[in-house]
Amino acid sequence: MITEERFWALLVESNPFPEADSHEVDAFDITAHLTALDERSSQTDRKALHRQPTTKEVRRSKAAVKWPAAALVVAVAGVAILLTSRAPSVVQTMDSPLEVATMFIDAQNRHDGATMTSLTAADAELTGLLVEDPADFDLLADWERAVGWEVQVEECIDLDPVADGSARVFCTFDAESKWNRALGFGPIRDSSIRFVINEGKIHNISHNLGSGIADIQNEFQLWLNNAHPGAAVGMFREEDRRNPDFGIPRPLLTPETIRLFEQYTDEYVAYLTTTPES
Amino acid sequence: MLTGDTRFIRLYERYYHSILAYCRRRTAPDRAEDAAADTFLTAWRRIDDLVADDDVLPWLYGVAYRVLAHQWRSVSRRKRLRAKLESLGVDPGSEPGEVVVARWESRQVMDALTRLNDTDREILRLAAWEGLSYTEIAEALEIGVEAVRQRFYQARKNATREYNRLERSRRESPAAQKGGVW
Repeated sequence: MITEERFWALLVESNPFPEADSHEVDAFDITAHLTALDERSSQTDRKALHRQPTTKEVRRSKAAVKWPAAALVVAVAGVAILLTSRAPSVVQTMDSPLEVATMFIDAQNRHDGATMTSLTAADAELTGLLVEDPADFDLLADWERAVGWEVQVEECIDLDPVADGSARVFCTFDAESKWNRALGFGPIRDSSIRFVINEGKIHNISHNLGSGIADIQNEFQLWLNNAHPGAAVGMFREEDRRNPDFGIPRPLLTPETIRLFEQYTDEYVAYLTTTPES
Repeated sequence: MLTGDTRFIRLYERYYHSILAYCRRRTAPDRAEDAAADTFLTAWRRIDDLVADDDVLPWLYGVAYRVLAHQWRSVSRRKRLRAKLESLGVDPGSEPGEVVVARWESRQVMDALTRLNDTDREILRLAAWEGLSYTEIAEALEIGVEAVRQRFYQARKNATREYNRLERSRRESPAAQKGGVW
């Protein structure tokens, strides 16, 4: 048996990475980062960063992350060789990583699951989305249409490639749905999505919604539990309810639950927006 | 008056070590670097809204905490897949880059922590490893200071109880009784 004080001492000693100040950080190339920021300062209107970019307007900037200059030179040379050795038609049809990322988000806003799937490798890893398999993007698109989900991109940044040549694109965005519009809430802010893209295909998506989603979804669920007792059980993932790490249970997406989400969302919006008769 | 970019550079130079270290205490090195980068990209975007430089570290920890929480889902899926493969007699290979803890006491401390809920676990780690005050923890986790204070004492008590429970199991295990190495 140990005491709480002894446990505390063991916890402090168990710090798996105690020497923060001595850690080598040369992998994160500050020089390149500063250069990129200088270019940004001289070439761009800072306010323009806050409007929604289109595919062609997406800003191309480099926030250099952990990429030694020598490796970058090799990578650039490799790309040059690749470009010169390929047939011109292939080069011309290869979309840049920024364009691929923006096309994906555009397709998401059109609720076009087929295009989202076509832009993504079949074995891509999806984190933080409501589906875990790119083949299910049609379900995601249908659900987002049902609840009026809409993404407003604030900015997309093309990060330097990683060792295997994959590009990484990081986008920040605000999101809205029929739920928060009816509640009178503003958009869900502080959201981001990161893509890993190789040869025109998305191989990894990490989606990170701002914390406002919890309040908005909880309000919908409270209404649902009152208006349709028991309905929520089949519409949200049971495993999330048992796991406190998820914070909120994720919607479960099947054709049937999507139909219910659409029906109940319309009822919920009507409930919130109809003025009671005096 | 500093421009946003100049201020970002200053924050980055001052706090990148701390944020990367925070992430490395909680996840594998490659994921830690991604999480630290995502944290600073968020800071870059929010630079005009941030509080004074001296007070911004808890906020950065909070951003990193949420970035890592989203990483957790894919890690969890991968672990389920590994368990499934192992149950089928397939060697899934080694899991790359989990935080390695050498001493058995430390491993047992970590195991005890995993039995707490996410917020309580993070309160203890922020206090023990990042040296944050209750006020700073409250800011990072976006909860009240008094709630942090109460949860800290309760979490430490619960974690100690779990540690002792694990210790009893260890001592009573057949391997321990035979004098085997754990």
